[in-house]
Amino acid sequence: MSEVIVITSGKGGVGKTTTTANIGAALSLSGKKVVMIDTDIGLRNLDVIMGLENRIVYDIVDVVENKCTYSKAIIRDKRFEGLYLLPAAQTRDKSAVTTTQMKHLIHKMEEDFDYILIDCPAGIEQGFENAVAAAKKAIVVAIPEVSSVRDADRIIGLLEKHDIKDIRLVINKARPKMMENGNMLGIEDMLDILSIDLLGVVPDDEDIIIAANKGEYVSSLVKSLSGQAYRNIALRLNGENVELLNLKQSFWQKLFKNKKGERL
Amino acid sequence: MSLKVKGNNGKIELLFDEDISIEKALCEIDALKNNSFFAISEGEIAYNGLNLTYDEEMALFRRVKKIFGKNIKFNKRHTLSNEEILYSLSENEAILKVINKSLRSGESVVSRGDVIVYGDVNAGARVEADGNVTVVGALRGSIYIKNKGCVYATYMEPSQIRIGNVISYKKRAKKVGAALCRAENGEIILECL
Repeated sequence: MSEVIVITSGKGGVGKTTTTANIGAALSLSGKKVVMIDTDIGLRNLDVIMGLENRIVYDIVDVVENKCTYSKAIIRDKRFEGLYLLPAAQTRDKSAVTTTQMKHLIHKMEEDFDYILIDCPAGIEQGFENAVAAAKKAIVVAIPEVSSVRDADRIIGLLEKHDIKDIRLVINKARPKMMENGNMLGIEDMLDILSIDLLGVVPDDEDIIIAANKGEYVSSLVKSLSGQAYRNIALRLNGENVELLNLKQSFWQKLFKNKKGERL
Repeated sequence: MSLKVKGNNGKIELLFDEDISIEKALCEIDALKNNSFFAISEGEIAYNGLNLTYDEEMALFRRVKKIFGKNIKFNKRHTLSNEEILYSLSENEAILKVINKSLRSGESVVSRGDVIVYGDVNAGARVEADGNVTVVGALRGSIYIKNKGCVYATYMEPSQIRIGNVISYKKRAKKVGAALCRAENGEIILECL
């Protein structure tokens, strides 16, 4: 049996897709077989962030309409062992898939993978309903901004209504200096408002943007702080107890940052 | 029994099972005549649950008039929602609503009486009440009190409090500990406890 986890946030632009890609890559690095499902039909991005956009032949709509089997539609990422993507359709919209079709599809996939990560679109409409339909756990991504926290709060309420009890928080784009000065919502403040378990904190890091633009993953970069954060999240998902990362880099750490980009 | 009789704010409501025939429904009404509990001569009777044609409805109507007398009003009603029942209560029947969870953004609670929330009321959540509102937790959302009442929270950081016609809102709420809010002379007064 696999773990079906939906990655959602409510608000757009907080990094759901990047988080999905990097957690997926980090999980596959720890030896798990992972498939990521992009449910953002019509505005697909996960394939671009993973650098697999040129290899798409079939998509999720073809699968639910029985034009092909899901094993034909999923794309294997050749850089990793056991990392797969089921891309969304770009020429259709969210209503092309129903919740029952989604449940049916994920039920079929459950036997073949250790983790099924569902990348949820922004908003609380049909796309959200589809993404949540078959999920048993949820990761809520929020950035330390009031608007994001408000939307995350709403999403947690909706997830609870869908009977998803295991909801964990990933705080993205954290800036430790601003948090320290009180110019940004702190981790404690966010946990206080949202009152769910913390899964990890990912710093606001240039590496993420650079990697995403190249279609690579930051989680395989050895000396990247955000990469380490994603790897820790994967370990915690596997049930290991890992301490929170110290996000403040020392002068020497910055100086000796690996410019060549050594990868795992 | 395919008929249930329910008292509802001075009315009597007849709730039939949906699938019974009109003959059976008429028999059930006849049976009520022998029951002294339903010996009423005026008032209103409503019925629920049956899908009837016009003729059948008239037959039912005549039967009720025959048994309960001519002063009985008889009409069809839809099933009452909880909110309707809440608002059909009179002033003296004020009730306490207890919420045992945090209210998250987008959720709202409406009550005709007092409300107690054991949990937080987060920004974007709303509590509407006619009486007092107590939040055992952090209050970050909005509270509307219809007429009179006060708001207590163990951690007061509301986005808006409205008591009657008096509205208070701050641009960005300041963090206050346990506090009580009440309306006085057209102003909302916050007392730190």
